[in-house]
Amino acid sequence: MSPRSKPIWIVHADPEARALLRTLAGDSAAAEGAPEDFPLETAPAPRAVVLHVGADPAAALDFAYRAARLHPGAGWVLLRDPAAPEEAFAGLGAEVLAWPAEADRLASVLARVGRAAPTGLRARRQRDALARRFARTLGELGLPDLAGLNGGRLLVRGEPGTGRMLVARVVHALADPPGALVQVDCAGERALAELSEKLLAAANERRVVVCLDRPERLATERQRELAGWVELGPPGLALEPERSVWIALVVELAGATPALEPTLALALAGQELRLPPLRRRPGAAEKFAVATLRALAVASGTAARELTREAALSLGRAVWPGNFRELEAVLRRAVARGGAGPLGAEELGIESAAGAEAIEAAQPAATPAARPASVRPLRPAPSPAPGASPPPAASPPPPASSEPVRASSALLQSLAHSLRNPLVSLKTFAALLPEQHAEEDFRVRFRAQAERDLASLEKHLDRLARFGDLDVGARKAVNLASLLEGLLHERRTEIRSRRLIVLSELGADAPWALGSEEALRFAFDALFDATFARIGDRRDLYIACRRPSAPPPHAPTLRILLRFHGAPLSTLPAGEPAPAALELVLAAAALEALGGRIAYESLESGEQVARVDLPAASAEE
Amino acid sequence: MPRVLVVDDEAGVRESIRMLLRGECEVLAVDSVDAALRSLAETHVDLVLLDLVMPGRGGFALLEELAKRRDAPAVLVLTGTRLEQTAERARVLGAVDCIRKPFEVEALRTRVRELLKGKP
Repeated sequence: MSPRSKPIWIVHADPEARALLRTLAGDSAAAEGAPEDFPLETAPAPRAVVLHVGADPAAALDFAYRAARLHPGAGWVLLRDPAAPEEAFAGLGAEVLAWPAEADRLASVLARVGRAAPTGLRARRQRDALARRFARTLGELGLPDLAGLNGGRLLVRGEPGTGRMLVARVVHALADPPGALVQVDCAGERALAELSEKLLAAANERRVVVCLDRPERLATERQRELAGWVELGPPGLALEPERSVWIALVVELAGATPALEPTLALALAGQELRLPPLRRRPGAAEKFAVATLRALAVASGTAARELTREAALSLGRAVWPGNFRELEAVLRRAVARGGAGPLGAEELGIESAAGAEAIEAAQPAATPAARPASVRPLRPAPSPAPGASPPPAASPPPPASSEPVRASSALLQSLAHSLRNPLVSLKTFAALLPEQHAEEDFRVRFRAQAERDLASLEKHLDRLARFGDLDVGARKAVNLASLLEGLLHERRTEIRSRRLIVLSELGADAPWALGSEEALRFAFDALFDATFARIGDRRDLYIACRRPSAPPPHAPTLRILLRFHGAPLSTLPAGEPAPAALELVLAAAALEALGGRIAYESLESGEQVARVDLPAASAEE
Repeated sequence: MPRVLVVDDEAGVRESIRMLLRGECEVLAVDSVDAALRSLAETHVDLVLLDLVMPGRGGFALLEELAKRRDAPAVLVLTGTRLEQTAERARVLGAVDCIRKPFEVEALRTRVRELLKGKP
């Protein structure tokens, strides 16, 4: 069922209010009911849910929890009584209207909901991620006027790696509605035929953003033909100006750039945006490097590397023919080599990075992500069975003499940190016992604290013992959806008592991992423990499993994503190598022993993200 | 009575310091740097007892923030790390002292009394 053919759900305790809302939405197929008795299991999947939060917010929250879990792609509109809570529903990302609402405003929102679903949670998150990358790379340049692009043209010029494609994707993502993005590399032999096919496939979209990459590579005659398409529409297709945007991404390289045919240049140049190379943006290289090092550190759960003053100056002086893409690759490589302390110019290899070879090598997708030093597999896994997906590419090995020390150091620091804190409180209370024993309040608190500390110590020791017993060699296809649902089920009491909303998308993509079920259970149990300790009450936890349709060779092929509002999973004091939580160190070690890896990200919105990549089982397994 | 702000992500550490200092000063306790900044914005504090390693922003971030303020309270760092350069960096950023965890109860109490001396 396509998103537009899905009905909306109207959830309100008052039947008369539901009838009013249905009329305003103009959706005769709308499903409706009160929060307590809405037919959640049998109603058709909604494109949007209109929920009234009134005298019984607990019932509304319970409904939201169950509905959002079943239909994570749906948009939400909340109609909130003045006294009703709002924060508890924040995880839905809903459009909120005061109830009773002004008739015009209500009709406008519902009519919009009736035409198309509000942007889903997933789409909003993708858009946010895009906006953050744009801010890091091109933030100070600003965007062209989006309103002026409606039915317009945008010509983006720049060297490779300056962010041309990023501009196109942001223009598409921020357009309202975004519609379809039709993207064609004009260097291909079938460029125009491919464009025609893609435009035909998008013929029914309310809006189409056409992105022509490297149109200057087309033969002159083809460029003239394309100019006609831009001005009059593709032959045989109705692509009205008011629902189309044409963006051309032209590569400029000094002395070697094929010229854009003047007719096509004029047809495309409604607005022109020239992205300056990195070497002409004073301070941009250092600023981007600092932001990227922080992002890499958060992703790998390590302390952020800083730059020496000399390195910062060298960044500004370097030529960077590959611009941001090249600089990012250089930083990734430097971090992946390991080590601690500020990065110097020599470690960055700035001199050699400016050469042509570095440009060719500087493809981010081929660069292994930085990962923290971690514990090696206790019992190494055997080679994958024939037909199995290959394990992920390992990061470039650090010097042989330092890796065992770093790995052991990470575990031991984490262990010391985890055991020290319970000892601090036990020791302090014990020392205060002689002087405060007579006070009942002290005795009660001492007992409660001692119980908590001992439970904490026992849990750490139990986890260490289980880790020591893991047999990662017992590889088979493991249904991750079932495993993760089971772990969530074990935490159902806590989920209910803390009013957490768990949104899970686990079953749709055949999430079968290749590995030891025991080790996978251990790793995700530890990860869930860390997550549940950090997530705020009444917040949402999003968990999803993805199997990329075209996995890169020698890379993990199954990704599990956790996302929540709460304290970061990584511990990052500035300037100090910080121990990660013991459960996270052990989870990472177990996953790496299975050929997987884990990374963390802390978003500006306060959301925390954990990404686990694992080898997937093949169909035969 | 002087007021002390304890900044530590471990509830047990906060609770034990609260018991250690009760009767001598008013103890406020928070679990993060962000919460500490909110408390400092709302309430006058005479002394901060600060952990360095916490999820998210660590204790150094608070030291850096307080270093910019004229009326910042004294900061006593409590840390598990044994690296001398960590203590030195904390002092450079304005910490009056650095005490290792697990600390000796009397040593900490004595140091807090010294730092609160003369405070109303």
